[in-house]
Order: sequence, then C-alpha cells, then structure tokens
Amino acid sequence: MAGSKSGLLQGTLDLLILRALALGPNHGLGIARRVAQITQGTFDVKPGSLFPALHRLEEQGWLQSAWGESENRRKAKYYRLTRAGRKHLEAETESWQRIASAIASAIAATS
Amino acid sequence: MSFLRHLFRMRRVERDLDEEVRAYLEMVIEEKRARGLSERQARRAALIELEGFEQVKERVREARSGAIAEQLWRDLTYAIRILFKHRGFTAAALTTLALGIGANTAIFSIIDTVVFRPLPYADPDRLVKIWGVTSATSRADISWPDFTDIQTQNGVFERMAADDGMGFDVLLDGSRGSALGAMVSSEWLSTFGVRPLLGRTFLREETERGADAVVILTYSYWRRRFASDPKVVGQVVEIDGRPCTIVGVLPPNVFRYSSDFLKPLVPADYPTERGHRDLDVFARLRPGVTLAEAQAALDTIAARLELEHPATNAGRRLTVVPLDKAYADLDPRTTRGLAFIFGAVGVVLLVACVNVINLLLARAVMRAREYVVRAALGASRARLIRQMLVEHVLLFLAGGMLGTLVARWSIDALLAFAATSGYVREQMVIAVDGRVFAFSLLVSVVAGVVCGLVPALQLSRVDVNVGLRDSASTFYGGRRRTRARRLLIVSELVMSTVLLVGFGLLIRSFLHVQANGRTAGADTVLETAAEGGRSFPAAVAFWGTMLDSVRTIPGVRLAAVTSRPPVHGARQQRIIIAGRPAAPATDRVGDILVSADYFQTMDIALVAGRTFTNHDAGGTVPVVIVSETLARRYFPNETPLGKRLVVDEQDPMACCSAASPVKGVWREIVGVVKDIRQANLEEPLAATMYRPYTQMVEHDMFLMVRTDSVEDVPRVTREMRARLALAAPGTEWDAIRPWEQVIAGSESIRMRRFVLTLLGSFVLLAVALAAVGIYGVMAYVVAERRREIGIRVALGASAAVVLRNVLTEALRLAALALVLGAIAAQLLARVMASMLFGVAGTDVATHAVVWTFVAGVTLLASYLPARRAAQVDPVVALRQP
Repeated sequence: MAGSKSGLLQGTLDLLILRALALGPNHGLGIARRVAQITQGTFDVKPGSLFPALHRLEEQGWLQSAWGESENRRKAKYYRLTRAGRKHLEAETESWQRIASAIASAIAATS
Repeated sequence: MSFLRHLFRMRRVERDLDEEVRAYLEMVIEEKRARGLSERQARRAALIELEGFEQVKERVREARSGAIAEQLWRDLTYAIRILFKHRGFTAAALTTLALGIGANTAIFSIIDTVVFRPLPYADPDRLVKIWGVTSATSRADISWPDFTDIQTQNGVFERMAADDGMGFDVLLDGSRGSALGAMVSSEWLSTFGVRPLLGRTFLREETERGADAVVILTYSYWRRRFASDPKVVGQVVEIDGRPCTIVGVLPPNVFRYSSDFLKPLVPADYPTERGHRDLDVFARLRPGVTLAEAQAALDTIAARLELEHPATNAGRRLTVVPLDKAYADLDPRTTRGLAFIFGAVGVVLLVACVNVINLLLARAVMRAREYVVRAALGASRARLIRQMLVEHVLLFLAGGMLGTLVARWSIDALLAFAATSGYVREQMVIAVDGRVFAFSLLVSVVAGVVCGLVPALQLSRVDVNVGLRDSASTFYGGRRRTRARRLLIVSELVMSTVLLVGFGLLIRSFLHVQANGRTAGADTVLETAAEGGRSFPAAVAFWGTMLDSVRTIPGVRLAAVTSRPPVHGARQQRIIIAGRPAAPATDRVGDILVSADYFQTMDIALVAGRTFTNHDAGGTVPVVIVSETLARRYFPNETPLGKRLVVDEQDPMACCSAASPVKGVWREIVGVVKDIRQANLEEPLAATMYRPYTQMVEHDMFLMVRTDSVEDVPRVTREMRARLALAAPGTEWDAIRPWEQVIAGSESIRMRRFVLTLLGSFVLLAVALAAVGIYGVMAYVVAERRREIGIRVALGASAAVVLRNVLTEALRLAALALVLGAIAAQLLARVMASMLFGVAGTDVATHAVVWTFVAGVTLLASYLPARRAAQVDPVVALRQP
C-alpha cells in the first residue's frame, strides 16, 4: 500500500496527486490512473490511500471538489487544483528536487 | 464553532463520501467490463482492488480533521445505545459504582469541610482566640471586666468579641422547646467579618438593657426549624418568655459550637464580678501586628490586672492563639480517624472497580464477535480502544452521578452520627456542592479511564481471521484471560483481608479500651451532679442531706459523693512530701475529693491501710488516701502509710471551699487504693490522691449510687429524682445516668465507636462486593468448563468430586490472597499503630478470625457455581458446540 503513515511517503503521495491534477481536474479513479501513468506504473494508488489523501488535501485548501459527470455520463466527484494548491505544488516540487538530487549524489558518493 | 458545524454537516458529508466511493467502484467495474469481463467477474475484481468499501470510508473519516470530535460523538451515541441494550449489566455495574463512588464522595465532603476548607471568616489569618492561663489550665474563660479592660488597654487589636453560650426556652409555632443560644458582644459579627446571609447584624443600641429583644438565627437552626424560610426576618419568636424579633440569619458553619441563635450580650444584665469567668474571647489583629506583639501586649495587661486585682487575678496570665489552631489542635485523633476512614472507602472503591472490570471482561466475551466484525470492517485498534474507553468512562460517569446522589442522601445521617461522636462539630452544615461534585467527577473519570483501559486493551488485540472462524468464547475465553480474572479475584480478596484485619485490630483495641473503664457491676451504678453550695458549711450540709435521702431508698446499697468520678478527669496539683525538697512544678497528681463510701461504691479496691470513715470530718486529723501509682512514684521502696504530705494549694481557691484554711496543712496518708483511669481511658494510669470532702468541698460535686441489682435501677432512678427534688428544691440536677452510659459516652469510646461503625460498614461493603465478584468469576469459570466437566462426569466423576474440585480451586485463590493480605496487613498495622491499643499488628487471634471469615465467604460465594457444575448433565454438555 502506498498509504503508509511515514512522512516521506505521505508527502510523496500528496505530491503525485497534486501533480496529476496540475494537468486538469479529475475524479478519484482518473487521478489514480493518471498517477500510475505519470510514474510509469511505479505507484499504484489504492483507494484506501487515495481517498483519505484527497479529503485531507481538500481540507488544507489545495484542492476543491465538485460533483460532475464522468465520460460515461456517471455522477462523479471531480477534484481541481486551487491557486494555493498550485503554489504548494511548486514549492514542494522544488524541495523534492533538492532532496532527490542530494540523495542521488549521496548515493553516488558512497558507492 | 467549526467543530459544531462539522457535527451537523456530518450526515451530508457521510452521504457524499458514500457516493464518491461508490462511483469509483462503478467506474472500475465499467473499466473491467470494457476489457471483456462479465458483470459478476468485473464486480468481484473491482471489490478486491478496492480492498473493502467500508474500510476506505473509515480511513477517509480518520484522515479528516475534526475526525476525533466526530468519532467521539459517534462513540458516545453508540455507547449510550449499548448501555441501554445491556440493561442487566449496566444496572449491576452502576449499582457497584454508585456505592463505591458514593461512599468516597460522602466521606470526602466531610473531610473537605472539617479539614481542608478555610474558616468561613474574612481575613481569617488575623483572627485570634484569647484564653486565660492559670497553673491548672491554659484554656480558661475570661470575665466581663477583664474583657473590657483588655479591650480598652490594648493597641494591637482592631476589634474584640466575647460570647457566652446557654440554654433558652423557645416558644415557636405554639410548641415549647429548649434551644442553645449564644450571647455575643456588640462587635462580635464585625470582629469575625461575618455578614448575615439574610437581614442585618445587631445594632450597638441593642446591647442596652431592654432593647435586646432581637435574635439572629444560625444557618442550621434556620434550616431545621424554619425550613430555610427566606421571609423569616421580621418574624417573632418567644425566647425565655420574651417576644424577640428575628433580624438576621448567619451563613453556614460560622458559629463554632452547637448553637441555634445569637442574642446581644447586654453588659448591664451580665455578671460583672471579676471572678465570674464564662466568656470566650476573640480578637482581630490590626493589620501588620504579629502574634508575638499581641502576646506581649496581653502580658503587660495581665500583669497590670494582677497588680490591681490580686484577689481575683493573682497568677493569671493571658495567651493568644491563631483561631484556626485554637480548636483544630483539640484532638489530632480527629484527623487521623478521618484519614483512616478515607483510606477504607478508597479500598471500597478499588474493590468496586475490580468488580466492574470483571463485569466488563465477562461482557467482552459476549461481545467478542461484535469487535471482530468491526475490526474486519476496517476499525483500527486505536479506534476500537477509543470506542470502548468512551463506553467505559461513560459508565463510570453515570456511576459517579448516582454516587453523588447516594452521598447526598447519606450525608445527613452520617453527620448526625458523626456529631454524637464529637468528630464533627454539631450542626455543622456539610453540603454536597461544587467542590464535592468535582471530586466525584474526578474519581469517576480517573477510575473510568484506568479500569476501562484494561479490558479495552485486551479486547482490541483481535485477529480477524481467527475471530470470524472460531466461536467467540474460544477466541476470548482462553487460559490467559481466565488467569487475568482470577488475579482480579485475588486482588479483591487481598483488599478485603487487609480491611478486615485493620477492622479486627481496631475492634480488639476498642475492647481493651472498654475494659479499662470497666467497674464491677457498672450496670448498677448511677451518676448525677449538682452545685451543692458555694460556702463550705452549706455544701457539706447539702451533700449530707442528699446522701441520707438517697440511702434510704429501697434497693440502694451504697451512695457516695465525689468531686470527679472516673473518666471525668481530675484537677492537677503539686504535692510536697514531709522531709523532702519540693518536686518540680510540672510534677502533678490528680486531686479528688470523696465521701466515706466512695471506694466501695465505685469498686476501687483498697490495697493497704484503710478507707475514709465518717470520723475524717472537719475537726479530726487531716488525712489523704493515695493511688498505687502515686505510692510507687513518691515512695518507691517504702510504705506510704503514716507518711505526711502537703498540697500546694491554689490561693485563692476558685473551685472549692474548705472548713478552715487548707494551705500548708499536712496530711497523713492512711490508705492506698488500686489505680483507675481518672481521665482518658487510653492514657496511662495517673497518680491520684483522695481527700475527704468533709475537709474541703468543690462547688460542683457528683452523687454516685449503687443499687442492689440491675432490676432496681429504673425504680431507684425514678425515686432518686423525686427525693432529690424534694430534698433540694430549686437545685438543678444533671440527668441521672447509668454508669455504663457514662463510660460509653466518654471521649475515647465515642470516637472509637464512630470510627469502628463507619469502618465496619465500609468493610462490610467491600467484602460483599468481593463476594459478588468471586461469585461472578466462579460462575464464569464453571460455564466455560462445562464441556470438560461433562466429560469428567461421563467418565465417572461423582457430583461430590466435581463440587469439591470447584470449591478447592476457589479456596486456592483465597489461600493466596490470605498470605498476601497478611503481609499487606502488617504494613497497615504499622501505619495505624497510633490507633491500636493493647494489641499488636501481628495479633494471631485477629488474623485467625479474618482468615476463617474470608475463607468462609469465598466458599459461600463459590458454592452456587460449584453446585451448578455438579449438576452438569454430560449428555447436554457434550452435545453443545
């Protein structure tokens, strides 16, 4: 499960969701599929992690939700990135890149 | 208030969430079908991928902020439903808790008022009590002229107050009764800084003669006799035949002794002799004045009074004591006894809690499946614990509320009882108020969390797979859990044993104390007292007449007069032995004046020499009889008979009158008598000397009468009352009391009886609760082992063997508890050493009785379950799943 309580992983999932929504509003399943797509299948987000994360991000003000209609004319809840969410995504992306490169160089140095 | 909004929004949010997840599921199904799966296959695959519909929702709920409040709300409503559903369980648990918490709350409310609460006066730190000091006492009352002199001559007190209590006849609503009133000086209320609850204080002009027909009621009298009537001010009561207007009502607990009302003290009507000392005097220190400065000022005034009025004030000093110390230090046993009782009710609560834990565990077994299902539906362990905790704390809180009610109902009876023991000031108003309620709440929550956590932790360790497959009882029964419940039983038995041992030791102490006051044929001895006269010839003539008149009553064997019978204490005097240097001033002996037949009447045996005869009257040789302890102390290796001593008499004598000057009169020791407890029954035997009352007599004397038999007592009492009234018209006699009643009413017996009765009821409560607990656990153990017992019976075990097996198991637990209890009781005995009297903490008899009792109770409590076990029908038992 990707929903482990460890801070790093939770942050990762949040980042991935925000990233997926940066491409445009989407519903739960759509977000899960898009995350799988943009991580080339590395992350398979299960609903047990996805929905708590979505609700949490919405409470933090980074997402907004509204009922809409899916491609198959099915009622679904659509999530959309807010301004604050976009800003947060930018900050998170930057810090993530810093950490990622730091870790990468750390690994390169020790091996 | 986003929290509340959240609660109200909950329903909509919940529906939203359900729809959202459902939509997700449907979309996944569609996806799968698009890939060619059948409807059924697609749904199944989607559900597996979802990893549980309810679980997803539960995790969203947990992730939401405000989730805690929301879940608490959910848990609370659920808990209330559950408690209502399991009515039998709830009733049993609530009864247990109400008793346990109620007992604690009631005792706490008393201790809180007696010990912890500050005095109900403004700036109590500046209030002091002023006492007179003589060679005999440091707590002497003060006369009116001395009071006014102190008032006018000091520069240290802001205000001073004096009061004197006495009985009054009261005519109220046509019914006549007596009441205790206190006459208070004009600044009494302002000295204490007391504002009336209703009405006003006394006015200055109301201390003038004739203007004093006003009265202020004490709170307890107002509540008792006027039913707390808010319109009482302005009503008129007749006091001593005079209509008096009620002008005010005092707040609770303002007056220190049992008093019903205050009246103005009118100096013009009050005895103004300097030797008439009846006033209790109080003062409020000026701001910044220390106790030492006040004492110095009083020393100066006392010295001046001594010079100016040597006849009445020679040797008299004054002392100042902070008000909170003035009465609190009267008896340290009060607080000790209360602390002990508080400890005992604490144990009662513990036993009650253990019982409730047992009930919770037992019920948990029945609800095991519920928990398993909830865990399977996605409830996390923390979630399960929290829910159970909410349920348990709710139960304890409800128990606490009921307990507060129990306390409220029992407090008045408890107080009335405490007042007779002298433990609590009479008519003290003890309210079950906010502080007490807070205490009860605290106890409930703490007990609820602690007790609720134990079963909650055990239960939450559920394994969904095992739980769903197996029957609940195999899952939750189990050896480990049974062991936990047995442990609880042992702990209950240990606590009961400790309490019982403590109780037993106190009973033994009580019996020893009582034995100290025992007089042969005490049930045939009667006591009364009166003031015989203030001049010597009048007093001796009075008592001679009284003795003659009661002696001739048929059935009276002996009659005697004494200044103080046993248990009433004695005046302490210094004696000087002929030919020896004077003993230090602190070395004192008891001084009792008696008539010829006193020793025979009170059954005090003569050891050597002779008792008094009628010849030891005024004109003959001055004589004295001493007790064994006095003889041993002053004449260790010789016979005291024939030796001479002189009493270092107070001059002038305030209490007595004599035929001729007694100071410096040498007396010959003519007899030695056995020791008796002249003062407190628990104090060591004191040196005492006896002198004939015909050489010197106290103003107040006691008349002691011994009848031929117990049957004569009622008739003799009646006859005595009639004859005394006839022989001394106008004399006020104390009630004629049987000697046994005097002993029973003596301070140490009264206090011990109070502690014992309270303790006894709490011990009984604890043991009863423990017995219920044992019954419950044994019944459970038997039910759990039905199959096993069935097999045994099928294999030929007789009913007797099964019965014995169960009882043996119960006794094994009891044996373990008794050993642990005996060890714990040793620690207890050390703590209560100061309350033990004539008995050691290791007292074998006490332990033996307690052990037998506990074993007996255990057997009794497990007998019913054991018999049920013996009646197990193997056919039925084995067929059961």
